[in-house]
Amino acid sequence: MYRSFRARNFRCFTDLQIANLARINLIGGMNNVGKTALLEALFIHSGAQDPNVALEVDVFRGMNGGEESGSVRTRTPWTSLFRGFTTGTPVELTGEYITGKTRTLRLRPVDDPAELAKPAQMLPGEFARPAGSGPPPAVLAGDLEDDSRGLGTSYLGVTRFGTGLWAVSLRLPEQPPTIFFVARKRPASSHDAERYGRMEVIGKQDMVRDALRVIEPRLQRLAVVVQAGMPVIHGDLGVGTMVALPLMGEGMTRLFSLVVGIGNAPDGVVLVDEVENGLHHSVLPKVWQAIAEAARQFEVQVFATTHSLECIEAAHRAFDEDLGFECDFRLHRLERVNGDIVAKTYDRDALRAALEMGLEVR
Amino acid sequence: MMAKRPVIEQHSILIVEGVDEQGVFGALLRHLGISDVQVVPTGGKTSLADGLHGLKVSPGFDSVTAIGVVRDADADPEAAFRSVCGALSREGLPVPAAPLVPHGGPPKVTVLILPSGTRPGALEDLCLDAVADDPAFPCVSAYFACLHDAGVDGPHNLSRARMQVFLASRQQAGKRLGEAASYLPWNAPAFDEVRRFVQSVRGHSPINQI
Repeated sequence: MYRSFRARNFRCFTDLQIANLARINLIGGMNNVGKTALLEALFIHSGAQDPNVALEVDVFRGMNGGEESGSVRTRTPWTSLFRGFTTGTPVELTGEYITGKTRTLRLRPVDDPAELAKPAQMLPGEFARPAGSGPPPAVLAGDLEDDSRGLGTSYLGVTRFGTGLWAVSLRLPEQPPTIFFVARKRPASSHDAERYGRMEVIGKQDMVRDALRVIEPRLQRLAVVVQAGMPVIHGDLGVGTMVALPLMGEGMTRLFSLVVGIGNAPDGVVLVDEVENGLHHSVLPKVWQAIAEAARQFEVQVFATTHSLECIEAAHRAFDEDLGFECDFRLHRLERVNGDIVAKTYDRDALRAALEMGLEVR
Repeated sequence: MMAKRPVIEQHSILIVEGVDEQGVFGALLRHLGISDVQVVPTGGKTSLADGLHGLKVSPGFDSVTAIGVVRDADADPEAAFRSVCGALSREGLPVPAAPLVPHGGPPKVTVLILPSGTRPGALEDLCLDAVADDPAFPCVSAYFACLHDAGVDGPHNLSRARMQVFLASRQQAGKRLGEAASYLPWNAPAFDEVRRFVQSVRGHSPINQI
């Protein structure tokens, strides 16, 4: 679990430092202050040994990791990760964990021929070019350090004919999973069904059902039903026939995805962009409590962004109550100060005071 | 449509306790023609310490260069000042040595204890001092003397009640102090210290130091 996180020269951040991270972290702020970028930085950092992860975040945004990044034409698919599309200064992502360990991932383009020889040794076909022909291959290096001790470097490059990517990953002990819920894309129902199946295997299916009862109190049980070769979650509402979950509304599928996502990321991180999507404000406090309960059971750290005051107020109400277990919660509001983005962290008392005073907290 | 929540927009802010103080200081600023000092109430339920805690992470606070903290003395002006200092210290803000003595910065912090730095009381006592020469004032005093003579238990907060009775003598009666602050005689000597305090807080904003 992260205690603090720092993103330097990443996307819109010059040097974003965010401390006092909690089990549940809500990220607020105006448009274009980097809420999604913070989730992306965490996603890249938590999957640091696999260089492909660095480019998945552009795919999540609807870009295909190709040459176009917004309106700026870039030479490499990773240029958009660097602040100001300038790759001269490395991206540096540092997480401090509650164990005291610190892990840093440094992303940098590789120009030095001596270093290019390292991935070339492993993938000679990608580097084979007649001497003096064309530009050198575009390669991104990811240096990984734990407590300033180098763990190694991963490499990512554009294939010889520019039609794809190759990657040389680092071999590290298995890392806790990270799941990213992207704002504009709902997980496939087959994906959700698979995740639910894993929870059934470990006997946690009732936890999912209980969480969904926040929205649909009639729900008696859940089952995976295969329709036209596709697994679809169904629920028993006591109406004589099982009802497909998507037919119960956006809120049900959203909460289901979140809870089974958390259940499938034990000891890991779940990132949720625009968490309130599809959820009516009246159920938000209970939804937060369901998320907190799942996060507690699976020791998952949750980072969720929101634009919604109702969502922030609901989280505050939910975590101000006695949940019967200790759940720490923080609101981190990103704000542009003198051109740079900084994080302002609200503990429970600060958020209560700011809400009571009617101050802006988004 | 959801109401817009306020953000800190000025370099100079006055942190006051409740809506009455917000109304009174807002009216005073208008009287003085000051539009670049923002009054921020901590609200009835929130203590100054919690209010500062929430305010410090609020949008715009990083641009604040001058803070005036206004607090009622209640029974003990020294204890009230110490309490303000404790709250400032907990938030890592400058802690003045005495009321009305600006300290540190930015943000430079000045504390005003009402009705003055040395006597018990509250905002209402200051306002009563200011209206003491009003022709209605003897009538207010006579009303409470009459209640006393009739054996009626007086209100718990006599100053607040006296102020309400005074405001009941105005053309638009029935308003609370914060709403009726335009009736207050801002040039009365009783408001000298408050006027100087507000001008001083305003003077610490970078624009006004040029």
